[in-house]
Amino acid sequence: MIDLIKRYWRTLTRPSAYYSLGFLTIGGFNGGVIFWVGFNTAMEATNTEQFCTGCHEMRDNVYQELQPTIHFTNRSGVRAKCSDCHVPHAWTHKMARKMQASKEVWGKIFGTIDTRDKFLDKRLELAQREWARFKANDSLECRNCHQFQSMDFTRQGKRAADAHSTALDRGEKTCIDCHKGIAHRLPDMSAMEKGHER
Amino acid sequence: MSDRASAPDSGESAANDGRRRKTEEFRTWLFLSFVMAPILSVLIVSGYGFVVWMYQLFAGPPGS
Repeated sequence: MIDLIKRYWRTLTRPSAYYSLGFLTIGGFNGGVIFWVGFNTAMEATNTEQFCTGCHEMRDNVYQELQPTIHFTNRSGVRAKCSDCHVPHAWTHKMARKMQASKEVWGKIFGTIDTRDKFLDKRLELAQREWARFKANDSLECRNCHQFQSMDFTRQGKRAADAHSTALDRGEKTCIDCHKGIAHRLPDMSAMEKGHER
Repeated sequence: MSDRASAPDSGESAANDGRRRKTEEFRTWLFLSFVMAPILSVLIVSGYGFVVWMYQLFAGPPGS
């Protein structure tokens, strides 16, 4: 057994005697291609609505709240799935978020929000985290679909057109400042300090 | 030491060694390309994601 290991170690650390450079590099490269396909498939699979709502914590709470909203069903049928808003699209931040998802695995195992009451108790904290994320990146995940430059104010209601053409245009406000609660229900805000709703 | 059969003739034993070496090289290549490299890639990428997550804990969410 030890001899076997020694033999393979010797093979590993010396130039190949029998296989060409072409075989080794091109073959290895294609191995990498296969890996990359698998990696991205896994990334996409963990971004599907089916995956996210696999946990009843999500399925019975926020997913139910999403369904009557415009982000789920509307005239054109263009809709958002969980990951469109909640998983950063940029690669590095996406990797960080996927590692952070270990917290959700923990929560599933230890039942952090596994009843309606536990969920309601924690939901303001969870919502605030997402609001802080949107504020920090200027609502990037909103803007991934909603391009400000393409907004036609003449087709918006007066209140919306006024708000968008002033505070949003000047960069004083970002989408999430006014549109909290648009995709799921607004949490009970009474625990937040007055004047700090934004 | 080795329990593999070796013919007493040195030419044939050298050829056997060569065949064995070739097999070992092929298996080593297979292992590196389809086991070690993927595992290493996953470890490196997830390690990177983990480090960035830890950094974001005190630096705040991206963009801040």
